[in-house]
Amino acid sequence: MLLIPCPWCGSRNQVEFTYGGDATLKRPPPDAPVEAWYEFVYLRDNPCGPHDELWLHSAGCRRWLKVRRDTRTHDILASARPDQALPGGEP
Amino acid sequence: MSEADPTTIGSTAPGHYGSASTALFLREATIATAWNVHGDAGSASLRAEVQRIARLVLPMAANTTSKGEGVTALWLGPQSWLLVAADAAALGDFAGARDAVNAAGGALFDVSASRIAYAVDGAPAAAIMAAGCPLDFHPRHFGAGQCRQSLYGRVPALFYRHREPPDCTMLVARSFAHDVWRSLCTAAAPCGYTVRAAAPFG
Amino acid sequence: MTQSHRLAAGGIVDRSRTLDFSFDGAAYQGHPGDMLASALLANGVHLVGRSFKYHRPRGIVTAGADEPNALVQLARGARTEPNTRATQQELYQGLAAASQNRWPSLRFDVGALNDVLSPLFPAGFYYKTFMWPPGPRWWLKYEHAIRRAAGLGHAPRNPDPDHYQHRHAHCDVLVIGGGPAGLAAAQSAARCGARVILCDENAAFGGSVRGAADAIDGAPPASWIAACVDQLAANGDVTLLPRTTAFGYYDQNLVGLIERVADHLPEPPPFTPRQRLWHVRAGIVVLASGALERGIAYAGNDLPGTMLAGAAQAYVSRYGVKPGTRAVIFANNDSAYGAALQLHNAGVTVAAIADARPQAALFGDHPQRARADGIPILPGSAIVRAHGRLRVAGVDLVSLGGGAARRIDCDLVCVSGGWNPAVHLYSQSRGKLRYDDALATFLPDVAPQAIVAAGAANGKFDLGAILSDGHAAGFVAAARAGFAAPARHAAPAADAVSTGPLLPLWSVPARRGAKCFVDWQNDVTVADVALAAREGYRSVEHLKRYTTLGMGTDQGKTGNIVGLALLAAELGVAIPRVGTTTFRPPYTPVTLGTLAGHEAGADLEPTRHSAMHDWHVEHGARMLNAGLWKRPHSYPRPGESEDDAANREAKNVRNRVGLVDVSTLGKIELQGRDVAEFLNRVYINRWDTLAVGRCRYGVMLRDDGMVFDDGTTSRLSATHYLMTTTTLNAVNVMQHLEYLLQVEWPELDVFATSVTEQWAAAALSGPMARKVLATVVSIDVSNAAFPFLAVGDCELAAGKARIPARLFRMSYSGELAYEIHVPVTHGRAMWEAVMAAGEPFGIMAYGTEAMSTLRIEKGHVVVGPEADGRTTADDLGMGKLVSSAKSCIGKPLLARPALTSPDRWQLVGLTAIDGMIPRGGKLVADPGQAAPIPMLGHVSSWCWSPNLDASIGLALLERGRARHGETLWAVSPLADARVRVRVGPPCFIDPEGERLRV
Ligand SMILES: [Zn+2]
Repeated sequence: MLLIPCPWCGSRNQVEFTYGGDATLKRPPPDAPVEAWYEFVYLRDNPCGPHDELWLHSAGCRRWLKVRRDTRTHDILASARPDQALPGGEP
Repeated sequence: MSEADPTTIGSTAPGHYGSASTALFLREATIATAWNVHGDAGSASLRAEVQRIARLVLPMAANTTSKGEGVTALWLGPQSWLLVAADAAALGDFAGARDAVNAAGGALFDVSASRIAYAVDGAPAAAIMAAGCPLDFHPRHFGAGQCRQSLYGRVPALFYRHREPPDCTMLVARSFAHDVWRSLCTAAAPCGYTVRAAAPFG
Repeated sequence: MTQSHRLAAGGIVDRSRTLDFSFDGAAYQGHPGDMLASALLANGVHLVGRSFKYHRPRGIVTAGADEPNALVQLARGARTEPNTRATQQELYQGLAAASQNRWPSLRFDVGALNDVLSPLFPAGFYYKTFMWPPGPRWWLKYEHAIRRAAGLGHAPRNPDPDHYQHRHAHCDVLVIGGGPAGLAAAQSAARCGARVILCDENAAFGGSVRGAADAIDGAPPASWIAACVDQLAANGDVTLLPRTTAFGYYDQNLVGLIERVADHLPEPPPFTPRQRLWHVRAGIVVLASGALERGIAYAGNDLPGTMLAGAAQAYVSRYGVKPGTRAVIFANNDSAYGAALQLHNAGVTVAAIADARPQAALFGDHPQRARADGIPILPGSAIVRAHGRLRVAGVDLVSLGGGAARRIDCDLVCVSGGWNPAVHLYSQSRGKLRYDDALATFLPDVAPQAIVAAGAANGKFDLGAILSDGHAAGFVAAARAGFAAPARHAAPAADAVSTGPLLPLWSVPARRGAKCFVDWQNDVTVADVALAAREGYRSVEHLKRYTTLGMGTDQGKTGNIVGLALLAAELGVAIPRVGTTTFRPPYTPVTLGTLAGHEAGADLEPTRHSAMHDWHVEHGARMLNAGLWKRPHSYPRPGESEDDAANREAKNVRNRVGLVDVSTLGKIELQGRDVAEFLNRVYINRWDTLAVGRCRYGVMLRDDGMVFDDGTTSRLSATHYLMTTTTLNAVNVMQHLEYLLQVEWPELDVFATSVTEQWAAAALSGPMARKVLATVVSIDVSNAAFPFLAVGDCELAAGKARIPARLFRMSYSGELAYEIHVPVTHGRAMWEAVMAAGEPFGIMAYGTEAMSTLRIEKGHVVVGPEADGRTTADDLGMGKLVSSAKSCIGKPLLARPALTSPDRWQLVGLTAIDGMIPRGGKLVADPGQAAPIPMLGHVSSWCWSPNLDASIGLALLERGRARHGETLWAVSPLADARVRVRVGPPCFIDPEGERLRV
């Protein structure tokens, strides 16, 4: 079970969180071409190594956060608020 | 001591249950009013409005609480607080307060009936909490006046220490009340526990 | 009854009390402090089981968790447990154990024919033989017979009478292992002020040093241990966990411990869990798990009476048991001399020490002491073969320099091939191991997680070095957890012992056909390893799968290193090149009940009750699960079936009035300046036109355009809205809204909170609803004052009390209907007040089954059956709701050709022409067609309509809206049903919606 540092509450057990998918996706504007929407809705990378993810602190402060997790080791490398960049930009 | 059957683990009737030791006490802590404040923690007008309504200063630090006259404010998140009063008179009319908070750029939700509070008092309290909750209840990490949200078993729960440890109060959604109470009692049965009559929150 | 092999003194057993126990029906006695294994040995019993494959007689080999042979079935009725290690099962009064894997008896076992036929059973036998002829059917046929022949004990057949608990714990320093290193580490870490948890798998701390002859700080080890444990116990920040095994090491220093709370008792005391699973989140872990001795493979090295030297020493020193009367020791290192001395002092004749090392290596203190005590030492020699049938009777010794074998009679052989640090948890933590040539084993090297090894687990085997290593590790761990060391404190000291070097020796050559066992539990021999290497299994992981080396309940704790060293020799590479197999949790087997903990039986998952739950139960409702909620299905009257009850309830709503508990609907309140804009973005329809005091139906889509959820949203004040969601999606919708507000559109001034738990809700439906309501609420509910889709606050009279309530004029049943919301604490009072007010009008409570019938009659779709994640709003007949004036979540992808195709499956209503529409039926044009019959659609909801007197359903049907009037077949091969159905519009009753607007 992971230990996830919530930017607001501090480090908490994974059971308090809900996984929310890839944090690097950018929602296209409503009038964007269908290709852009297709990419946003369906296409996902499956990186081997650091992966920026969204998590919801669902049983805690109910805030969404960004978490950088190494998919090989489960090491949690960093976390940030959704409006903040994780250190070093995108992996 | 009442004549409760010590083997009916999960009963809410006052009395002693489980093993013989009498170091642990469970009871409901009654809540009359609970309002959920949302808003920008940096907004002076919001803080002033809450101060006018609840006569307390909202706690800004994570996992902390503040107290006014008959009202406790618990930090729930960077934009969310819970005002709790055991006496309905302490917080007054909801609609007026909501409009005032809305005008100050925040939100106010009436959740008075949403949660039930259970006070767990006595030396084994931390161990009983730890039977269901992954939080660290050591006094160095969770002192008096602090609160945290987490889980008890799989049920979301808000933990609050209004006194020095080991005593602890937990608030859970009312639909889960029977379930959480039974979990608490099952966890407490090996060391024995006494159910006391409900008393006001705080 | 005498314990023939019990020493008069020594060890931790309490000779003042005896415990009766039985093994395979024979009665024996032991003492408190005994393990089952030590008590058996005290009674001269070595033969305890039959091996897995060859059914060879096997005895007790170890004194701990590494035991491969002494696995027994504990008979405790429903509490029976297979594969219990006799070496770790504490003796209790009345313990009854049975041997496993033998028939008809342990001494005469028919399966032992496998041993005679063993040339037919080489490594990989099952794979080679039963995979031919090709095709899985053959394997399945054989597998059945193999599975029956294999397997050790048997699983309990009755429900587990015990309960189990979980406990979360946090500490700065977790010390795993309470031997001398662990105690010293716990002591120094605690001295720094760190919060310490110390666990040990035994009932008493002290490990192997308990009962040993050495001195610590000038005192017998027992008194040092007692003082140390007392000091730790007195520290409020130290948690001592005896009888507790650390079994798994997980991410971010989460360690799983199993505390065997009551396994040492005939049954758990009242209220006490049998076992407790600890989830320990440790700042840093000190791994003081000790070391496991390994054997040396020679012919017949599995005969009962053959034991690891350290185990023999433990039985003498810890349990006061003589494991034999005449012993031969076979070793390649000094540690076995300690065993020899202890056996000698206990009165066991040590006939010889066969040491593979040359004379020059035998300079250590212990060899010298053995020599001085007159124990015959044979340098440069080895056991080449053991004799005996059910017990070892003698061994053949050879000089490694050559010459004839010489037989020595004995009833005990003690072997030591060296020691392997118990690095299992270190490796589980992702720590790297390094091979140490001098010790010929793998040691902890570097770890990405916060873990340090200490003592024997760290390759220290001299007591003084173990103590100082543990002591230092405790300080290092505390410092890394942020606790400064107090004024320097000396490590506990022991007399230094001079030790000679180890000579790596894995096996002794044997004549062809003789069995030299590497892995006792899985009957893997030296020849099997060689065969695997010859056949190309060069990876240690492949070797494991091919030979089963290192599998089973002991996971190769004694045999693994020997096996991989032999593989390295076969391949002609260095041992570190071969490496180890991956260590995975659990270190020792864990009972499933412990993993489940409290979450079993009625507590499998938490349940949610509405405020009216008890009323439903008291009034005969059959409750069913809706997510975690319990909801009334129907309220059968005495003698009435559930279906009849639901039909009666549904009919009563259409004809008179009914009340249904809808508290489980998700409720979300929204406040802020931008709520209308936000609703415009999340719903397909428009919200900026909703007036205060009104509500509206809305549909949400997922980003891919499929229907996500539906419900109503009401405007309570200029800035305050209330949204309802479906019961099952309440959590998902809240999460979705929070995601949008926090991640995508933080600029919107909207605050949302879930108020599902705040409001108890009931829907009052039927032509009499207004008349009922008017008698209990404080406001005018006439059609003019409170029209369809109106919302307002009011008071509801419940006896003398006035309950604050929110009233909504909305309808799910299609009848004149109201929803009444009151704070949960008033839920039951509201419900009872409305039921009482409705009595003169013939009110009945109705459950989810009648509610479902009513909505099917109205053609209302439900998330799940109709909105199944593959349907668009248009498929469900709600395409017109999609506002063209704005965008919303999911709209950009709605224009994809596949989503606008006229061939899509669309919602229709079905009426059975004959028979009943089958559950889960498929729609076809002609069931008599040759297969495969094209499927045109499927039945999504079905019911008996008591109001239409017909079997009706909703369906998703290809080009459904163009097929109204057609006749199709609903077929279900599972139910063997074919029913002709007429296709029509989905709404069966009052399609104009006049009833709900009256
Ligand atoms: Zn948080």
